[in-house]
Amino acid sequence: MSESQMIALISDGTLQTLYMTFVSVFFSYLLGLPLGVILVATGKDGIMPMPVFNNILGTIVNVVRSVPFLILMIALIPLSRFVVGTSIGSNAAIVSLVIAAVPFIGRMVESSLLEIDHGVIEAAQSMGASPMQIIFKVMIPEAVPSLITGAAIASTTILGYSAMAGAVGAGGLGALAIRFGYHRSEPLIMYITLIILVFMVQFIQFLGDYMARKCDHRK
Amino acid sequence: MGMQQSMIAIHRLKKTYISHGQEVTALQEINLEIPRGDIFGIIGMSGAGKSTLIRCMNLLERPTEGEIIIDGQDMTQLSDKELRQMRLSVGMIFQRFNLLMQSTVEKNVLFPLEITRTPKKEAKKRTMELLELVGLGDKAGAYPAQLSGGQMQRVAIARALAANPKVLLCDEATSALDPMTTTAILDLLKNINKQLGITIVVITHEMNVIRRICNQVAIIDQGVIAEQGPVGDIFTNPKTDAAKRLFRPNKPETSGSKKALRLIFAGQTIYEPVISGMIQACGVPVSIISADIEQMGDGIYGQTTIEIPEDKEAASRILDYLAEQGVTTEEVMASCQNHK
Ligand SMILES: Nc1ncnc2c1ncn2[C@@H]1O[C@H](COP(=O)(O)OP(=O)(O)OP(=O)(O)O)[C@@H](O)[C@H]1O
Ligand SMILES: [Mg+2]
Repeated sequence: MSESQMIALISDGTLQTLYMTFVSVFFSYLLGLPLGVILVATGKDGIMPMPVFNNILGTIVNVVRSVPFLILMIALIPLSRFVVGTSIGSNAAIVSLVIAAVPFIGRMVESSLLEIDHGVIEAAQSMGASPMQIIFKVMIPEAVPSLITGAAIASTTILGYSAMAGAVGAGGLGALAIRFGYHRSEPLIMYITLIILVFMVQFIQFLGDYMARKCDHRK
Repeated sequence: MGMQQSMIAIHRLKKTYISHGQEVTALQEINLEIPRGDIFGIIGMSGAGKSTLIRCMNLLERPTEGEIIIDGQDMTQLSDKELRQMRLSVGMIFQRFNLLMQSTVEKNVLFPLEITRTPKKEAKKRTMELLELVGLGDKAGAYPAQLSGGQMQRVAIARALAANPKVLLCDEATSALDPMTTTAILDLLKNINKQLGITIVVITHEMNVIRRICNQVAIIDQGVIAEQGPVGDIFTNPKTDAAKRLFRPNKPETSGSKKALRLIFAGQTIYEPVISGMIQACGVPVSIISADIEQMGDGIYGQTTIEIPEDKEAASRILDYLAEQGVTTEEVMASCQNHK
């Protein structure tokens, strides 16, 4: 294989991985953030306690989270086909990635929101704030640094999942590593993809930590 | 006093918590009338039910039984929406300030105005006025973490006043502050009461707080109001054990074996040389065991403990003389090593 072919393969894989990760993180948060908020708000000490609903939701979250990602991918092939019209490629993988990540992100958001001092929420209640106002003007703004830290962890996890998705036809760096490293024993490509993945994780983590620190006004 | 006059009227309030399957009665039966424009103190030992009581007033805790009537409205009968509306007129400040730590001082004070959807320009103007009122005009852009405890409580006070409340509830608002800062915050509360006519309810376990700003005080003990009345009256004449424990802490007389007499000076008597007059008039020397003077609400009160002479006849002459002079007396037990 020529050098330019190799570069083309790798840059193409990198872009695909970035695309899968970015789009998955976006849609996962679109669903996971409200899920986390609902888990907290309807909890026993929440601002709108609904114990039965909260229990059911919590159980669903736990069940989805306990299915290993690869098995979930395979189980979701029909769904992917239905949503994006195909069961292979990056878009199909995004469907599975989002479904796997939403419960995980829901729990991350939940734990960030639970870190907020309950006294601040009470103060807002004492001022006549409605549950919606408390969510949007108190809980989320107060939890921003922790939510960013959580988003960095979630993004690196989704990045890892997307590489795994390469094993079942998702494309991207994961697929390259498996195709050349495992099946065709061209270890150089595998090592390069590994280095790029490590670099991406480092970068996301660094950016997350930096932003979380930057927007935390507690000290 | 009729119900119409009271800003807050509490009738047969009861609150029980369920904790680990067990019923805990925090408030047994509270009846309380808090007059309009007053600074009303509620004092009690730890666990007496103070926080529960004040949190029931704005329904942060829902009473198990009873009525909470604020400005003629029974808070327990309101729908969620009506309750939120009503809470705008009942501000609250807390021991740990409870500010939005990720928002600037200005945003914190703006918060209640955002809730009421006050137009931006007007809200901003009001915020600056309030920050001036609490002496933090130059801190609008600071974050709470950059402020001292006293400054944070000032922000909390400005925030609590933003929606123009009729009542300000203070739950141990100075307990996390040092004595100097406490005094400054109490003076600020007194000013606010005077300038804006807001009824203030102060919950505390510190006698100094009651003495410095309250006109009336209720003593809460094990979930009931043991005693209530003007601060000066309860100081001069505490009737219940709970009141005596709070108003006469650690006085040497409480543990002694020798009979002594405590004289309470209130009003004019404090400025008169009552004891030297007594010695002259009765012709008996007495030794003084302890004496002090304290500011209480709007008045100054003094108390002096003297030894009672062995001679029965001399002792009764002293009592008669003091009664004539309008000095309240009370027999106590003093320990001997406290004099000579
Ligand atoms: N959420 C709760 N669950 C169960 N019991 C509670 C709860 N809150 C208060 N209690 C109990 O009710 C009683 C009164 O508590 P409260 O907090 O009102 O006392 P307090 O006078 O404010 O005391 P402190 O000075 O220590 O703050 C205590 O016995 C306490 O253990
Ligand atoms: Mg308390």
